[in-house]
Amino acid sequence: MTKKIEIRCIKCPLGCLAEIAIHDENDVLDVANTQCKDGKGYVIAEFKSPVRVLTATVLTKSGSSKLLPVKTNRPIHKTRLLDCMDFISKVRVGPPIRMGQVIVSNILNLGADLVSTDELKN
Amino acid sequence: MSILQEPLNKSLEADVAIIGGGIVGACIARELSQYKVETVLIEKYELNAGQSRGTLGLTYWGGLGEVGSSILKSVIAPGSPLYDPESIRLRLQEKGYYMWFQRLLELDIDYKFVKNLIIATNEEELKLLDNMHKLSFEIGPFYMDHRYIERDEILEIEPAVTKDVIRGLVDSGRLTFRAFPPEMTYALVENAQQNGVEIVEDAEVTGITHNGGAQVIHTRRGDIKANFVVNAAGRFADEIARMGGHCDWKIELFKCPLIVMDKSLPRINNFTMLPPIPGRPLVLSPTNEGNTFVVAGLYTKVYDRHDLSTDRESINYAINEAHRISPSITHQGIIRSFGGLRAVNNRNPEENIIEFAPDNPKFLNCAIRLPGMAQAPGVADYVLDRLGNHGLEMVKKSDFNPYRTKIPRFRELSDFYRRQLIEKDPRYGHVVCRCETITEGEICEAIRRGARSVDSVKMRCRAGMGRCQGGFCGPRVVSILARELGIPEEQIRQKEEGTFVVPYRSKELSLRSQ
Amino acid sequence: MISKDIDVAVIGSGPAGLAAAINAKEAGAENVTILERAEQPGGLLHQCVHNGYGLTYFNEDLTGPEYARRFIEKAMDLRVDIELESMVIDLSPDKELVCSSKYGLKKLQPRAIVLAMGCRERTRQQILIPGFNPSGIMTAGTAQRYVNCEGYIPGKEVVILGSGDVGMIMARRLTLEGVKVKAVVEILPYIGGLIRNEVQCLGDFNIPVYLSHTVTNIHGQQRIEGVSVSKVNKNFEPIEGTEFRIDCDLLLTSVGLIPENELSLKAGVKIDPVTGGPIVNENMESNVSGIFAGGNVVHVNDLVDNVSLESQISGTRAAEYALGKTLPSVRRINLKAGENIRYVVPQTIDVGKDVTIYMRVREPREKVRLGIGSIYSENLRVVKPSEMLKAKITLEQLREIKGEVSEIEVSCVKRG
Repeated sequence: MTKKIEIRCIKCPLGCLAEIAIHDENDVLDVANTQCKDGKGYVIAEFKSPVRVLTATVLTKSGSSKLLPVKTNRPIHKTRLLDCMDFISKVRVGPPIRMGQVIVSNILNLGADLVSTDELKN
Repeated sequence: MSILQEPLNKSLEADVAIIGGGIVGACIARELSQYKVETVLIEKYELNAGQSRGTLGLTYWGGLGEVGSSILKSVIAPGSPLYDPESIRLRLQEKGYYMWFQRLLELDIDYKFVKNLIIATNEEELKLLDNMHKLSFEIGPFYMDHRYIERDEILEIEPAVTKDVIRGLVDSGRLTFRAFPPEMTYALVENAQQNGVEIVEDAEVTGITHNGGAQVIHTRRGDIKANFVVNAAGRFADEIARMGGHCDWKIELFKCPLIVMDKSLPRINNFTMLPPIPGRPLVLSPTNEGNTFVVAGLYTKVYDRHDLSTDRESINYAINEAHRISPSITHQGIIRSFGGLRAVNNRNPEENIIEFAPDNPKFLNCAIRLPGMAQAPGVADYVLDRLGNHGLEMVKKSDFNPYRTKIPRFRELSDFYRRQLIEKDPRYGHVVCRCETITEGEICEAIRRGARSVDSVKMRCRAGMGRCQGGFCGPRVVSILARELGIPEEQIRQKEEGTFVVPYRSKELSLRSQ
Repeated sequence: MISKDIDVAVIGSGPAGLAAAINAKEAGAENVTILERAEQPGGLLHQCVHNGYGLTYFNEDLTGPEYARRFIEKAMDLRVDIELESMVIDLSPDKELVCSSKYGLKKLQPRAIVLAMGCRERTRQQILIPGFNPSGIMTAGTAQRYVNCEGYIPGKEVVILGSGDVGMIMARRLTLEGVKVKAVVEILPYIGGLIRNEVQCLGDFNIPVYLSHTVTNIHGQQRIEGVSVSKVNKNFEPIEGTEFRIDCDLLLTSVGLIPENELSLKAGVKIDPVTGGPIVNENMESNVSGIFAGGNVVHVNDLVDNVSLESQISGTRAAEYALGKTLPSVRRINLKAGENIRYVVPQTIDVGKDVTIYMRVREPREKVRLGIGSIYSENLRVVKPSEMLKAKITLEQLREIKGEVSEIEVSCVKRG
C-alpha cells in the first residue's frame, strides 16, 4: 500500500516540506518537494531512522553543583528519548567527574553511552 | 502550609493589637512603641501588600498637590466642595504632613521635595489653568502657594516636557515631598520592632472573640489576646470591623493604573500634569531613583479586593496622555505596570472613620481616605489620643530609641565608603542585581530585617526593580533566601502564600503523562 | 589607586569574552584579564546543556558547556586572568573601570578594553501584556537557569510566548523534564528561530504552535492560572472575537534579546539604535579609542560560532592597540543598510584588509541577490530575519570601490 509522509528538511533555512511516498511501511518510492540533493538524502535518512542526540542533566551528590550536564555520544531513536529521561532521573553521580566520562554505558541498550559534558570537581 | 507560617507562640498577649501592616498600622505601631504598651502588629500577607504599595508616595498638604485628592473626589463624591474647613481629615493631613519631617530624619527615610507643575499646551488647557488659579483665590490660603510660570522657565525646570507648552502653574515645592512608600512603612516598623513591638505576618484574621474582658484575635497561625484592638486593615477594614463589633459602613474600592518607565528616558523632575479634567487626569511623577511614574487617575470601581490588575485600554490611555506631556514617553519605555487601590467608606467618602465600635469600647476602627501617606502620622497621633481616653495606660518609655538607619546603599556610596562596607562584610562587594547595582550584603540585610519572599526582598532593597525585572538576579535571590532562611528553594515564595517560584525539583515530575 | 598594568581587560567571560581574551594573548598582549560577574566562567553557555555548538568552529557538535570548556582551558593555558564574581560597575571614556567583588573595589585603567557583556531578555512588561502580576511568569532564559543549573522546575504546565530559539529549546527541555508544554504562541506568521529547532524541539514532541497569535491577558492573582490568546491582524493587533484561554501555571516569554550596553553608555560609546549595540569598525572598535566590543553586546547572534569568530578580531585588535601596533586607517567606507537589510555589522570599514560583514534581513524572501555596493554579489536561495548572513570581502574587492565613494549600500533584492 502506498502512503505519503511529510518530513521537514532542516539542512538549510528554506526548510522544504518534503513529501515521501512509501510502499508497505518501509520502501521509499519517491521524494518530492526538496530542492537539493542534500535535502533529499536527509529526509530519507530521517524517515528511515529519525535519531537525535539526547542532552540532559543528571542529579549529583555534590553540594556546590546540583546538576551535571550530559549527552548521548551517539544519536538514538527519537521515540526513546523519554524512556531515557526516565532512566536518567534515577541516576546520581558524585564528584570527581571528567569531561566526557561515561555516566551510563549503553543506555537502555540503544547503542549509545551517556557521557558527561562538563567536569565536576568537589 | 509552608515553614514560614509556623504557629504562633501560644502565649502571645498584648495591650494593643493593630490589624493591618500598611502605612497607618506602621505609624500607629511606631507611636505606641514610645510607651510601655505591649503592642503587636498583625498583617494578613507581608507588610505593605495593599494600598500602601500601589501608590506614588507623594506626601502633600495643600497647594497644587491637592489636585490629586480633588480628582478622586470628583469621581466618588461629585459636587462636594473642594475645601471643607470643617473637615477632620484635612486637619489630620496638615498635622501628619508636618509630623513627617521629624520622622523622615529619625528613621533615615530618603525624601525629596517636589514641585507641582501644571502645564497648558492649547487654548482649552489655558482656560482650565486660569480657572484653577481663580478658584484658589476663592478658597483661600489653603491653595495659594503657586504662581504662573512661563514657557522658558518651564523648559528650564522640566526639560523633558513637550515643546508645545505655552504656560503653567507651579508651586513652591515646600508642600509636597516624595518618598518610597514601602520604605516609609518598613522604616516605621523596624523602629517599632527595635523598641519592642512584635510583628506577625502571614496571619490572616479569621475572627475576633470579645465578651467583656480581653479580646481574642483568631488568626490562621493561632490566637492573640489583646486588651485593645485597632483596625487599620485598609481595603479589608469593613470585614475586620464586623468581626470586632457592629459596623454600618462598607469599603468601596477604586483602582488606577501605575506605570514605571525605564530610567534611561529623559528625567522628569516635578509632579507634572496637564490641567486635570474629571475622568481624564494624568500625572507624571519623578521617583528618587530616576524612574518616571505615569499615573492615570482613571479611578474605576473594583469589587475584588485583590484586583491589582491593569488593562490594555487604561495603559494605552495613560501612555498616550503622558506622551503629550513628555514626548519621550512611549510604550517601549515601560518596565512595569500595576494597579493601585484606593479605599473609601460608603458612609462618608470624603472623611475618615476613626471611631470605636458602638458595642465594643475597646475596638477602634481606623478606615482612612486618601491621602494616606500624609495623614498617617496625624492619624496615629489621633488614635493614641483616643486609646488613652478609653483607658489605655500610656507611660512613656525612658529608653525609647527613635533612630533607625536604612539598609546601606552600595550604589549611592563613594568608593571610600564602599571599600569600608566591603571590608566589614564582603557580601557588600558581590553585586547580584546588575540593573540596579544591589549587592548580596543588602539582600541579606533585607532578609535579616524581615523579608521572606522575592517580592519583599525587592521592596526592601530594590533587587529586581530594574529593567530586566529580576530575570538575572531572580535565581540568585531565591537561593540566597533559601540559604538565609534555612528552607529549601522550592518553598521560596514570589510574594504571598501559594506563589512558589520554583515549586518542583528536577526529576520530580512524572514523564508518563506524555 | 588605579592599577595600570593591564594590557587588555575583557568584560564578560562568555564565548565572546573568552575568544577575545585568547586572541589578545596570541597577538602578544602580556597581561590579559577577564572580569566576570557570575560564579563560573562561560557566560550563558553554562546553562545551555543542549548541542548544536561548534559545528563550524570545531567541526563538531558540542553542548554549551563543552564549547565553553574548550575556550576556558585554552584561556587558562595561555595564562589569561579570569576574575570571577567581579562586576564592573563603572567605566569612563578614559578607560578607567571600577570593579566590585567581595575582596573590595578595584580601579583599573587597562590600555585596551573589550566589551563582551552579552545581552538580556526582553520582559513581558516591555511587550505590554496587561493583567495581573502573579507569580509563574518569567523569561525563557531565567527558566533555563533554574532547570539546568539550580535544579528546579518553575511549573508543570507551560505556555511559551515567542518562538525564538531560547523558547523552543526550553519547550523541548521542559518536555524532557516532565512538564506539559501546552502551546508556543508567536505573533509573527513564521517561527522566530532556526528550522532545526522547530523540528527537533516542537515537531518531535507535537507541541501546538499558534502563529500570528499573541497573549492578550494573564489570569490568576497569586499564581498564574492561564492566559488568553488571540489571533492578530497584519498590524499585530488582536482580532476581536478570536480570544481563547489556555490554562497553565507557568508562562515563559522568549520575545527578544537586547544587548546590554549600560556600561558602554557610561563610557561614551555610541550605540546603533537598530542593533542596540556599539557602532564598530572592522577592528570591532567603538567610537571611543581603545574600547572594542564583540559578541551579542554588539548585535544579537544566532550561532555561538559566529560570536567566537567575530570576537577574535576584537581581541586581536585590542592587543594591537595596547601594544601600539594599530595600523593607521587607509580609507574609511560607511556601510548603509539598504533594501530588505535591517542592519550591517561592522557599520564602517577600512580599505586596509579583508573583512567579514554580518547582516540581517528585514523580511523573509526566497531567491534573492545579496549585494554589497558593486563589489560583492551572492545569490541566495532563501533569507530569513532569524538567520544571520555573512559575507567575506577581500582587500582586492574593497580596492574596487571608486575613489570618491565614502558610503556603500548593502541590499537584498529579489532576483529577476
